[in-house]
Amino acid sequence: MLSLDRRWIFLVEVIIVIGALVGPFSTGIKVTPAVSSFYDAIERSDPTEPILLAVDFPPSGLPELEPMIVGILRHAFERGQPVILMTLQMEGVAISERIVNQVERETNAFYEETDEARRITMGEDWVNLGFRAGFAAVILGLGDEIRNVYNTDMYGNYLDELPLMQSIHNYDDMALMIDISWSSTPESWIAFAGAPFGINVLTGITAVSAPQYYVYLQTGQLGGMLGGLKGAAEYEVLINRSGVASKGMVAQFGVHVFIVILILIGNVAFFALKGKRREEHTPHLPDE
Amino acid sequence: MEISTDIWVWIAAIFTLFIYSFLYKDNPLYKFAEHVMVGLSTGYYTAIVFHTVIVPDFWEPLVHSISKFTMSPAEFSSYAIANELTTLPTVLQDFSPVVAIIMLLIPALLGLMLFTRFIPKISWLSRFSLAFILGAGSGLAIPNSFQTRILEQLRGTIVEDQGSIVVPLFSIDAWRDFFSAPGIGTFFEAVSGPLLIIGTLCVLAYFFFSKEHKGVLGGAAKAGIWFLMIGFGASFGYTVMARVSLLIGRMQFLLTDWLGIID
Repeated sequence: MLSLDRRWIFLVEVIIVIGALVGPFSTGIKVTPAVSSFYDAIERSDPTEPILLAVDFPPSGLPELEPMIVGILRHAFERGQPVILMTLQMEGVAISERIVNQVERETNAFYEETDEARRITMGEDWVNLGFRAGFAAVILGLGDEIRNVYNTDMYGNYLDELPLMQSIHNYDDMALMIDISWSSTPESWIAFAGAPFGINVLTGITAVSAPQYYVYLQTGQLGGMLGGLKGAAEYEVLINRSGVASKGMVAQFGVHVFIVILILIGNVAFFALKGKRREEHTPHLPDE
Repeated sequence: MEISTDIWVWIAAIFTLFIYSFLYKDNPLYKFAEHVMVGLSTGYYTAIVFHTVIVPDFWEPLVHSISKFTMSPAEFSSYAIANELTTLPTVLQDFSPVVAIIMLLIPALLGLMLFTRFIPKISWLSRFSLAFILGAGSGLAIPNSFQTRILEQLRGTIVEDQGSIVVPLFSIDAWRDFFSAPGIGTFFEAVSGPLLIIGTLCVLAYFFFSKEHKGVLGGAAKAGIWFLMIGFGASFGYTVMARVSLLIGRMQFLLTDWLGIID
């Protein structure tokens, strides 16, 4: 058992994931306090003030983090709350552009179907500022005057020409900021935006990074947190829009059960082998 | 079931399969996909940096400053406002074009000096740039990090904010609630604060190497190891979840966007 070719494990995992995604399965999703705080923070915020949404991750973070951005945009647009997108990571430019366009199309299609006159438009409901190099300097600069950091949005429009941005100058004019990240950028947002300027910082992060941010939740430095695909699925439950994260939970459950079984079998096999070896090496005294 | 007719979806799907082929064993298809990814990333980074850093922060301001070389600070500022030079960093508008050029050339020179790392004879020049980066970075980071990572965390080990009121982590009220209504909820409410305090102290004891780990300190350090192990276990669990999520993401792409098996 201990010499099992690991490729069999990969194969079984793939079969479980495909089976879970294709099959008619569903699983219960319990909402944790970190996610409900995240949702409540947005619900409590003034819908006339924009949300600053930083998309700070490369494509490898997409499976976990894309459902979060989709959920946040849907939530904000449903409340009529504008969103300012930006990124401290170069890849975030293309990612944020694709996702916001997709949610805009989907939301407008829904409004058309339901004969609502309302439409989501760039410049009024959302703005994408794009990438700026500088990290801490960018975060600190936004607290003073956005125009000193971003002269234009990512399409080259002057900020003062965009209706949404005309009255927005710094964090004081924003409802809250959300950093969707795969690295340590939420710590920078806490240190350089939350602490000095007092803006409520929320985060959505990959599961690998999640444990290190619980300490910031406990101290109140983070207003809420979505941790990995599970966090995204919980958020989908709260906004009542089941998406890819909720679908992925069945596969997560299946693979986790499989891994737990493997750990148990591995431990039993390990101790059994250890006991057997000890028995073999114990000298047997001849009977007198 | 409707298979995608989008060429880019097909390319993404094929490259996904090339990468996953490594799970069977290393092969030329995997190597090809890996090299393409590295090349594409480098090209993408270069393009983004060129268009969002080099052009707006250096080249365009430099061209404007050189073209209005003889202007006074007031004239230069008026020129920038009149011509809506949003690409010109605001700070430069307060100076004459000559000063603006110097202010642009200093960081450019420091940046170029970093490349001397590739020329062993003058590689020492890069140390000036690194010293500047480290100095400026530390100056920015230390005060704020001290506040958020040490002072606030220290406070969080003593008290907890519950809305507008601040309560001690070791709460007598929580224990009173537990004894008046024993239950799992009230028990965890009462025990979580003291556990956090004890856990923090024990882990700190484990990392205290100025005294031999014997007696009370030794016991606390051993308990600290347990707290650390529980923490590592939680991290490992989250890591498994993250890795499985990546697999789920790719499978969702293959089954939905490529093969159209699921909606």
